[in-house]
This record gives sequence, C-alpha cells and structure tokens, in this order.
Amino acid sequence: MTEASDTLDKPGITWLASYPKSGNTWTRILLSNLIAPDDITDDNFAPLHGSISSNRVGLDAVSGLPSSDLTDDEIDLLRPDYYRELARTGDERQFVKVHDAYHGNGAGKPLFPADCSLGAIYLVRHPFDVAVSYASHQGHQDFAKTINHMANPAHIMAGGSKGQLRQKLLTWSEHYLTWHRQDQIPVLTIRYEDMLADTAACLTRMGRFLKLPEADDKQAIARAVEESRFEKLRAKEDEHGFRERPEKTERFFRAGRAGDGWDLLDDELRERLYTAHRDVMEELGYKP
Amino acid sequence: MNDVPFTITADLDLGTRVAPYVRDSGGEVTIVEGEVPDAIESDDMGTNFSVNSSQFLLNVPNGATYLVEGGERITYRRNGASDRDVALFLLGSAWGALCFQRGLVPLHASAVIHKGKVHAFTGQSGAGKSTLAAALAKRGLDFFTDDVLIIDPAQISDGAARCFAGQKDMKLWADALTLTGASKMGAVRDEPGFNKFFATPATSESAGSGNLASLSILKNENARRDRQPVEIEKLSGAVAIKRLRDSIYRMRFGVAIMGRQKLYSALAQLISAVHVQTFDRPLNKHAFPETTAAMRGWICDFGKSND
Repeated sequence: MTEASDTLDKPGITWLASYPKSGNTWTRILLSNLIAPDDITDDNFAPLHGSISSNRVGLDAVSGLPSSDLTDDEIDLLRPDYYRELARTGDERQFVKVHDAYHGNGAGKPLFPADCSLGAIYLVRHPFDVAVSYASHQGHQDFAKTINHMANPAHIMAGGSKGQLRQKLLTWSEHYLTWHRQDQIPVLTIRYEDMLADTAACLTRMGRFLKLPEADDKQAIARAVEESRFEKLRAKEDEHGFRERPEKTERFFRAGRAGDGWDLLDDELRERLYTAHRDVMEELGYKP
Repeated sequence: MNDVPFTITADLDLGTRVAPYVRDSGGEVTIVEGEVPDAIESDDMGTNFSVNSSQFLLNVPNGATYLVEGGERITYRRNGASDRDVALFLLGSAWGALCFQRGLVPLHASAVIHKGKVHAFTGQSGAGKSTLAAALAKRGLDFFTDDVLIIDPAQISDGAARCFAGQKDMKLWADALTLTGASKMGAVRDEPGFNKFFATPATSESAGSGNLASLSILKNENARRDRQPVEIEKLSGAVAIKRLRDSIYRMRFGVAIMGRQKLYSALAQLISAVHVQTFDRPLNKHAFPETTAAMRGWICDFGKSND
C-alpha cells in the first residue's frame, strides 16, 4: 500500500478503480454508508460525490463540445483536463468510479492526472469469478466469450454511439498491472474475497488510506457494513430496482459470493484463464 | 413570417443542414475565416470554451477554433481542419452560443411535425432523440429537426410556442441507420471506425418553423427497475422546469450569455404553452418497434385527449 496524499483538505479525486464486476459498486455503497448515510435513498444506494470516469454528459458540459462528434481518441485528449476541472469545481472530495486501465492518451498524458488525484482504491477479484459475473452483466452465459475479452488487450467498453465514453480495459492482468506499475497516484489494493471475509477490516483500511475521520469509528464502520450487506442490497433492488442495472440483465446484485467460477466454468475454461493470467494471479494469491 | 430565426452568409460550404439559413450576401450573421484570439475575458470557462455576455471562444482538440461575437459574427481559424469538420463544430456548440447571443434558446432536441404541430424529443447524448425521430419519419410522421430545436421566447404567446429547425439533416450512427431505415449520406468524420453518417429520413417536411406542441423527455429507467417498461407521464410546474433545464443545449453558455433568470423565465413561458412529458422505454432493439409505435400513437392522438 502506498500512502494517500497528505493534502486531503484540497479538492481532489479518489479513484475507485477496478476491472468490471470486482466489487466497485459495493465499495461505493460501503463508503456512502460510512460518509454520507443521510443522503442514501431507495433510488440512490451510493450518493457519494463524483461519478464514473466515462460520464459523457459530464465531459460535454465541461468541454463545451459534443463528444458524440469526436472520435474516441480525440475524447481521450480531453479527459485529463476534464478530471482536473471536476476536482477544481467540486466542493467536496470526489469519488470517481473507473473501469479504464491506467493508460495515456495520444498526447502521451495519463488519462488520470496525478495533480488532481488524492489516491486510488483498486478492487480486484479472482478472475474465475469475474468471468462468470461479467458474462451475467453482459446478459449471457457464454463464458468462453468473456474469457476471450479478459485476454484481449484491445478490449473496450462503450464508446462510439454508446451513452458512456470508451474505456480501454486491456487484459484482466494488464488492467491490474497498469494501475500498479504507475507511481503517480497512491494505490490501496483490496481483494474482493477479503471484503467478503472481513468487510469491516477492509472498510477500515480504506478509511485509513483516505484519512477519513470515520476510519476508526468502529460503530460507524459496523453500521456501514450492516447496511451494505448483500442480502439487504438485493432486497432493496427487488423492491425498488437499481439504476445501474443493465437493461439486459435480470438483477445487478446477483450472487455476491466467491467460488462461482469453480462451479460454472469447466476445466478447460479455468485452464485458459490461469494460463493467460498466471503471473498476476500468483501475485495476488489466487489459486487456479 | 420568417421560416428561420436569422440568416447567415458564410465563406465556406456549410452543407445542406442549415441551407434555409444561408444567403449569398447580406445575412444577419457573417461567418468568416480569420484570426481568433487564444483567450477572451470570461464569466465562465470550461476546458475548451470561454464565454462572457457578448463573446464565446471554442477550441476543438486538434481542430478549428471559433469566436462568436454579438450574435452577428462567427470567425473561425481552421488549423488545418477540412470544411466539413469546421462546419461540424460550427453548427454545434458555436451555433448554440450564437443562438443565445441572439436571445434565442436552443434545446437539445430532435423533432417531427404532424398536422402542423411540432413534437420534440429531448434527452442527454445517447438517449435516442435522433433515432426516434428517424424511426417516426419511417412510419409516416414528417421529420422536422435533428439535435437542435430553437425557441424564440419573444414568440411564445397565447398557448403557442413558435420553434425553428436547427439542423435539417440528421446524424445517425450505423446501427441507428439500420434500425430506422434512414438513407445514408456522407460520413460525419473521416477517421477509421467512426461509423456516424449524415442521413436523410424517410419523410421530411421542408418547413423550417412550426408551433411546438409537445416536448418528450426520453428516459430509460423503468425497464431496469422492473416497472411498466413503456410509460408516458405528463410533467408540469417546477418539476417540468427542472427537467427541461437539462434539455437546454449547452446550458452553461446560456447562463453566461443570457443570464440564469432570463433562461428560467423562458422555460416557464415554454411550459405554459407546450405539453411536457417523460417517455420512458426500453432501449433494446427488439422492443424498438413497439416503443416507436407507442410514441407514434400518442402523437397521432394528440389533441384528442392529451392537451
């Protein structure tokens, strides 16, 4: 773990970075319950200040340009200044969800500038479980297709005609490595499996990393964990729906557990994942 | 009565999108290539624009820069950009600033016209405004405008709001062309993989102005919340104004140029004259014929039970 910025009283962005389906939304909900519990409503489970890095409407408002008439590469040229502007104009610390790998644009500038960043919490999950959850999120059960995406350095989400900006994910391994090879933004890495095993401990680590006043308030941590339990979130989704649920999936809060990858992927698919991502899996202590 | 809210004379080919606005000489607005300053005094500044009550400056990444002044002049510095690329952004953000400078309110909306009444669809980028207008044109309602609909607050009275077409050609992504049956014209950009095209809808009305009857704010929430997937809900009062605020094309320019109070006053006038509603529907392409039919039916029945 690298220390987060010491100047947390300045406006700035905390990046919540992850490959898709790795606990990012759960983390936003946990932090919301810790920092801003009074703002939580049935329609908004995670009312943290800040949005997602791929927010097209936000970029259009800040740049004054119609991003739908720009190429994805041209948009990447605008993104560093977009985030600087978000940090500059935000009254409070911004938490911005990021599924992009850490990479630069055509001008050689990192998309996520260190000068407006307070730190990054990087969420990571066993790739066997990511494959299952990501396929479900895309509305299918073709796990081989998802595993191909996870090994494809050109894999992207959205962009072009889509409502969100293009996000370059690179491979699952490269996603992890790019965020951990860079030394501009302090990163705290949290494994999804550790969050499941001891949510309070992980939330405390996040709080301390971010120097949140609530970090060592055990009651506040316990309450946030309780309010963010999977069963509660699932019940809320069943009753009120969840705005981040893709239209083609039945529910966002699907399983919320570890181990589905072993139940649903056959030997060959698991072997393909292990072969493609062995080094990073070993670094993270993920067994095949 | 004029069919356009102003006329222009330009030294470059702006294509057919704003043809009704163009005069060979003597237009109310002059568009010329020339020197553009790097900065202006600004009341508001974004990453690529600066604006004050009478001037607006825009920089396109790796492209042209524009200075819009006094509602009467747009100067562009090409920076190597083609006519088409200069025109593309001139008729977008710079056009929006020009409207505000002339006391007009541009809405981010596409529209069709039926029985002399304009029905507009507004929503954020990617909400499906152009696709819905093109699909309705394929189903017999005349296309009126794409992307920008111009309101003249001075011409809202007695329950009627006169409006003007901002763009007479559509811009559609390749998948929307397939979905709507619109005819593909040239590419919007030359860059490889940029699959967006100028397009001609199946049926089009040449009129550049009309009376705005309804404004539908496009939503896609119910299908993701297991609610009634296709829903039309009338809005009024403060709720309608709040929702319409997001429909103003480049709101920040408008606030800096016209002032917040004048803008809100225009919106209040507008909702007193126009039926405002949300139109929530699934976005998946299998549901598209059904949702388009729902809106077509609503428009065709308009006046029988909705106003």
